Amino acid sequence: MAPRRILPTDLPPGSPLARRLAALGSSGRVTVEHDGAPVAAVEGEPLAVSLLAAGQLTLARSVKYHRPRGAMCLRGDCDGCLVRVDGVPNVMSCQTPARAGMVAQSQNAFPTAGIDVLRVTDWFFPKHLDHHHLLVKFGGALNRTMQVFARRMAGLGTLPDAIATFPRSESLDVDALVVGAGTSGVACANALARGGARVLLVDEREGPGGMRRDDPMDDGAYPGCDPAVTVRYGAGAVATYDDETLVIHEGRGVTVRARVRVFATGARESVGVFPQSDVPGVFTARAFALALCHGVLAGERVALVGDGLFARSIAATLGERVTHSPGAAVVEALGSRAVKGATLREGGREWTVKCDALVVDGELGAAYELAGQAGASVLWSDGRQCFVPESDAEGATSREGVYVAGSLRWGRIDHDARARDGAAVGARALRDLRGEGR
Amino acid sequence: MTAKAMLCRCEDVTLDEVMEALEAGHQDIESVKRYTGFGTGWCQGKQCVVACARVLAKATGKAPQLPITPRPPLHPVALGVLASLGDVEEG
Repeated sequence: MAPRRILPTDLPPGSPLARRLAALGSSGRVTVEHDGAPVAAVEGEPLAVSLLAAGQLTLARSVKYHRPRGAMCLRGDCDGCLVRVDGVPNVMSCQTPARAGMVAQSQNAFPTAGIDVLRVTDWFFPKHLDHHHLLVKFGGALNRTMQVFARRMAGLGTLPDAIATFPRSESLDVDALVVGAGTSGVACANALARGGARVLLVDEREGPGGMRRDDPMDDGAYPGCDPAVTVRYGAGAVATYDDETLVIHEGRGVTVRARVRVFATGARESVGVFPQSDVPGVFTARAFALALCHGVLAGERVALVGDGLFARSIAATLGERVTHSPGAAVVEALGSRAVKGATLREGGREWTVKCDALVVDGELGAAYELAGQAGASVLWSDGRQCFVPESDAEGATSREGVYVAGSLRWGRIDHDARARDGAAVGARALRDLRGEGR
Repeated sequence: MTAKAMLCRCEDVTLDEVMEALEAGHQDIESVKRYTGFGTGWCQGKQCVVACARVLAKATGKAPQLPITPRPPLHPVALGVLASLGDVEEG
């Protein structure tokens, strides 16, 4: 069986997801194209989710071994869903809303990502191919030949079909910029705005809620933004330097100057590293949950591992349709083209399950990159086993005017605690703006 | 069989290669990055830097020092967008 769309009636009555899917209704049905075949989609859902719903697990190929790649994180953190869209290469289809008539093509594969005969590279080098050292050993002509060969075999997409034009950029001047409209970011922006600051809140997503948007058990009652906050959704901060931050808002560059910057960028999910962890059909629990929130069941036979919020919500929503092993770890995934099963371990026991989706709620990593770019000192946390920006009780980092809030600094704490943290960090940043010292 | 444990999916760097780098004396994240190329692909380390840090912490028994420097852009950005930054509409 393959991934498919589910209906509200497939779910237990009264489940939050059933209500959510019923509210979606059957509006906005469109058709997109993938490698020449028509694919039914819901307008505005992530293109990667549309392709998944059509059973397209394999969307891409890896750069070197041409191993099959599929959507894994569905939040722009991996290489799994890169396709060519309307003649533009290297588009993250998980970050691209489906629109009628969109043409998606696989890239870096011959003839398509689904088949790709170039995978022989993977078979030729069963352990690995250390091209960094292999290709420089020979010198001279042989080296040059190898480089040409490698350049043809490896790499990402080819150049766009047409020369694109880009819109004029925009420049904004505010007191405070808050990056991330999850629970803590919204609370922080509200606290700043209510104190009279001019606040801009940006988020890559299409609305507020952060991780709550992707939780099928969430009631959807996200805290709203104070009308005094200027909000931009579909707006991702990509760079920050001195007091300037570059935000890409719907394909357009926006340079934001802010006296204080608050990063509420949350945490990243991962499946962990185990043999075949990269095969299509292995998902983070959040990715699987996100697809579910769009009414797409990413596998028929689901092995669910881990005990985080998303694993628990998936288990609560799907009940006996999933085999949930909350305390297990993955030893290895089975399958070469797509996942067929997994070996799991718990205590001293090892066993094998059959599945067409292996869903892992693994260790989290703080999304520290932007705070780090801003100059905040980033340290290893033994407790959380990841890098975290250093911050005091009220979220001030080692860099003046740079603050962090929410899951980024605490890990996955509950909604109320994130809201309180955001408000406290906002109050502190406000004092900073008023010149009341740090 | 081609069972590979990919530490860095974007650049196809296996856990094996990271262990070889360790054996070759590269015990910190930056050196392992330079030796194996991990963290230099599409995601620029969003997935693999922390994975590598955990491997190093376990293998060496020491807390990792710094991650690789997080440099802009966070996601790949079209050069056209960057080129148009000089062409500004004041907001």
